[in-house]
Amino acid sequence: MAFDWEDHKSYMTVKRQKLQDQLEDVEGDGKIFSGVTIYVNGYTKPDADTLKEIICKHGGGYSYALTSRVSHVIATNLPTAKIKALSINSSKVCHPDWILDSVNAGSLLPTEKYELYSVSSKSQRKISFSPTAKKEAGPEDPPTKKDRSFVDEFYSHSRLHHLSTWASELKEFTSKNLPRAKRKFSMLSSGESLRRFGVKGVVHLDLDSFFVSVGLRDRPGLHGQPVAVTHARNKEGEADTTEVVGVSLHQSMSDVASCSYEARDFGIRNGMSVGEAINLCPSLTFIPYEFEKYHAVSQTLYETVITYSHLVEPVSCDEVFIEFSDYVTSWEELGDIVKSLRSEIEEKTGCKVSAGFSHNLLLARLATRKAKPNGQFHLSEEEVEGYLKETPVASLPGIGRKMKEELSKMGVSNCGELREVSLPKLREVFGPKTGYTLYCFARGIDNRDLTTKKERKSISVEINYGMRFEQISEAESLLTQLSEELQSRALDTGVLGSSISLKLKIRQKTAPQETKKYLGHGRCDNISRSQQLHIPTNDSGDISRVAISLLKQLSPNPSDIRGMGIALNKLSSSVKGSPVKGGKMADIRTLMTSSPGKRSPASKRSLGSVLKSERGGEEGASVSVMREERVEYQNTAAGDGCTSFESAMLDLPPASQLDQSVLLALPSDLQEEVFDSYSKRQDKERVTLEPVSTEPSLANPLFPPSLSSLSNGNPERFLNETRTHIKAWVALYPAGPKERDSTIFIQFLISLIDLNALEIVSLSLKCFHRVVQSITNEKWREAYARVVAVIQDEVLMRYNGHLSIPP
Amino acid sequence: MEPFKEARADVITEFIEAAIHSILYVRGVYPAAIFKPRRKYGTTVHMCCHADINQYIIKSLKTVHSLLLEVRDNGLLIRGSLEKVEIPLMSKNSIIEVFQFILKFPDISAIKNDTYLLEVEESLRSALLKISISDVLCKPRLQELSDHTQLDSPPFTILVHTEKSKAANLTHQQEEEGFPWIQVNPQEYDHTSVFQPPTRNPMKLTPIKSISNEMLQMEVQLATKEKE
Repeated sequence: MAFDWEDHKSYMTVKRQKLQDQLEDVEGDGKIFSGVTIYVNGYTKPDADTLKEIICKHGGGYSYALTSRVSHVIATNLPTAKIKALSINSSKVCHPDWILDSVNAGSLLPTEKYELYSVSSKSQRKISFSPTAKKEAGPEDPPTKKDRSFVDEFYSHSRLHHLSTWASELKEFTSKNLPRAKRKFSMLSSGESLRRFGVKGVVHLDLDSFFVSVGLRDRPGLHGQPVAVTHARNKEGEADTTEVVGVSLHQSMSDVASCSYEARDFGIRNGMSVGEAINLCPSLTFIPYEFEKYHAVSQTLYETVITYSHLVEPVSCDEVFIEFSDYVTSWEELGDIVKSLRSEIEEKTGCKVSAGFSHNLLLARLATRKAKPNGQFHLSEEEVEGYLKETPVASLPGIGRKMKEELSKMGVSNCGELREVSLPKLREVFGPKTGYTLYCFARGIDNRDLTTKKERKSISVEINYGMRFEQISEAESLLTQLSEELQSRALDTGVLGSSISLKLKIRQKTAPQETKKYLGHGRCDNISRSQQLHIPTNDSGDISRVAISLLKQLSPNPSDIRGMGIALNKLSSSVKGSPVKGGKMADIRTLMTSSPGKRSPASKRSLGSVLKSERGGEEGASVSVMREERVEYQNTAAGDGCTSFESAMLDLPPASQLDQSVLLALPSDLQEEVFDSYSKRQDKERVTLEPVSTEPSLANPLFPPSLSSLSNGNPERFLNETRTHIKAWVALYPAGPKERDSTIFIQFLISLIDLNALEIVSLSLKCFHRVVQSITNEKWREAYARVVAVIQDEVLMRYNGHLSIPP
Repeated sequence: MEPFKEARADVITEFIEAAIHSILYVRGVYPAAIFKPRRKYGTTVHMCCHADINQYIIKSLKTVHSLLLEVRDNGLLIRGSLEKVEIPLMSKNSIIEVFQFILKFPDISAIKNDTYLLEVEESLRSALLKISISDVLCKPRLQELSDHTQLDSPPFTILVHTEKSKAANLTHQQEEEGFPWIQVNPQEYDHTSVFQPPTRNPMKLTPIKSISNEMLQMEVQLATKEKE
């Protein structure tokens, strides 16, 4: 039979068919292996041919190549590299005995006993975001739970999350309840108090190894033994089994969250990995986290503390500052009060408390070091110098790893040595403010007052654990979930934010794919980007839209993302309870500023984008509801012309509308960028239902031309480039500029001010002014005025003067 | 390292000297008759020929030079021991205009690409040229300045902004040479200082030239009173 093979594909099809026919010739009598297709790899006993015969006889399939049809791989021995290759197919690797035994038993045996390597247990687990995994979840699960499961699960397990949310809760609790709480003793008349002597009496309370002592309350048998709190599995089997399957404790990278003083004697420290700890102390006992109990204990702690003084500063769930200046007249008296406070707390909570007290916050905190465990210590003024001399710098507040390194380079490891360093030197190395603080701290000077009420600057959610994406869409869906979490937190605290920033942890190029710590983030580069909003929001829809568009701007490789976080900055307060959508607030303004004719294309466009963004997300009924709600919102927001956060691609004008002469006038790298955007959009168009876009917008901002060309000593060329950009920008948007682009322009100018290139700033703005004056468009004039206002403020701040440019 | 610093100090001092002369001429601080054309960086600079004025400029710049030698290179673009030189022009006891030279120093210990300082010279020339036409940037010439009989204050001064410790040193050393420096009364000069909070009388700034090269970053600008 002479065949002309048109291509390789048709050849293979025919070949495969032929092989299949051959197999079917072997008449089978049983159907044991129906649905099973095997592929034999390497040497087996019995050999591949025999296996083929057996499997075909019993209704199974045999494949000569490792294709997607293969359900089981048969092998007796396989190198790791091959297993990895096989695991892509998610087929099981079984010993040939499985087939023989199945035939003998007359039915298909479970493969567990015969599997050479179980793919899932050996390599790192992935957290699945794909829709198929969601479907596997039990039908009794409520649908919302399914979508949010990862974020919820993460937050119900994350230790840091618990601690941080409590801290804010407790702060709120104290500031709310302080005025109401009944005090044990009345305030002395001010003339008699410690303040009369010009000192504050500050007490620093700290529960001793908080997690452990709470855990030990219910485990009296473990008293006096080395104990640590961790996520990892205990040797008695008591604890969390969600993690570390098949890895011995010796290799576990889980952290020791807290350890008892007995364990500390072995050299174990908080934050050590479990593996390390167990090597230091083989008899170490692990106990699991008990968040509810911790919460109850710190609640009790604070309830007790506020009955003693009206000046309380919560530091964390087990740490608190109290000021007693107005109640006591002598240090001895204060010592007695502290003693009774400590015993009351121990009685109520069953946990030991240490307290340090002195005449300022810093010294009180440092005194606690000496008070531990279960004691109290008064650092009097006379002792300060001697005490500080021995204190390592790392125990000063605000000194982290970096600063410690920096200091040790200067030959400074304790406060005594720090005192030797002159103030100018410290300021030079650490900056004026930090330098001064260090200088004071080294001398035990601390003028800070207790802050009983702290104002929030930002609110954020971040996950850096278990992040292994394959598709960028998975990252986007996680961002949506995070946005919901952020919304609920913003609602709890009652704030709106007018700036949203996205933080990413990206695996460093040299870092290994699989991290040392199980599902940890390993070595990462942190990148972030933020977007200013015109209208403050705490609506998850708004947040996720901005976050996703920021993610697109950063366009990381999804498999390299190791952590993501969203933060809401520039907070303003709102009414608690219901989310405020940016769009709703914009409503009135929209009605006033935009004509009805202009609104219809905008809403049409957003419909297209909403349809796109809903794809692959929720299905069925929920989509239509969501869609309507969103469209309504888009309708108002997009009409406003300034809150368009859609993917940049959708905002591109149709290629036919592009002014070719402008395009050609651009520098070559920008031209490439434009073409690039268009080619990307073409890809998108295939999946988007209806990319309607009539309003042109700048895809990727024309600014800035790279600043490096400025410092390379060619300011003229740089200036000319900038002018070209300005002209092109104005020419491209006859209807008025996009808010985003103006912002980018402003940032560009500010970065020039940073570089001291005031001349170029002024000339650029003059050029902008000229161009804007030449066209008659109010929007552009407004944009110019806005830019000038911001820049003038900036210049005023730095040079105490205004640029002489037309207003 | 050290030769580079010295070269840098020389270059900057030289430029500021030429610039001061140019300013005095362009703004008509002194009658044009006492100026003679000279060549500097391939461009014409009118130089004052009055011995006392020249002495004042030279002695002031000696200090500028010594401050420039003390600029540290510590890995940052620092506002070092010499931060700003200002030439306020006065009339009837009040400042009308201030020419500012704001200096920053890039972190390098030697010139790498521009060995013959061609780029540096080029940028300094353009700055000088800009100064020589700066009269179009600000108000009409200060006519009354030329009428010296009415003045009860000097028509111009040289202000040097430096660190406190350096300033203390300075007063000490210079007294011996018979050319003392005095700390200015901040009340009188407050609107020219970067450290003052931007409150009353913000100045109107006209950037004349920004220079950025391997050796230095300098911003030459003219500050005038916003409202008369």
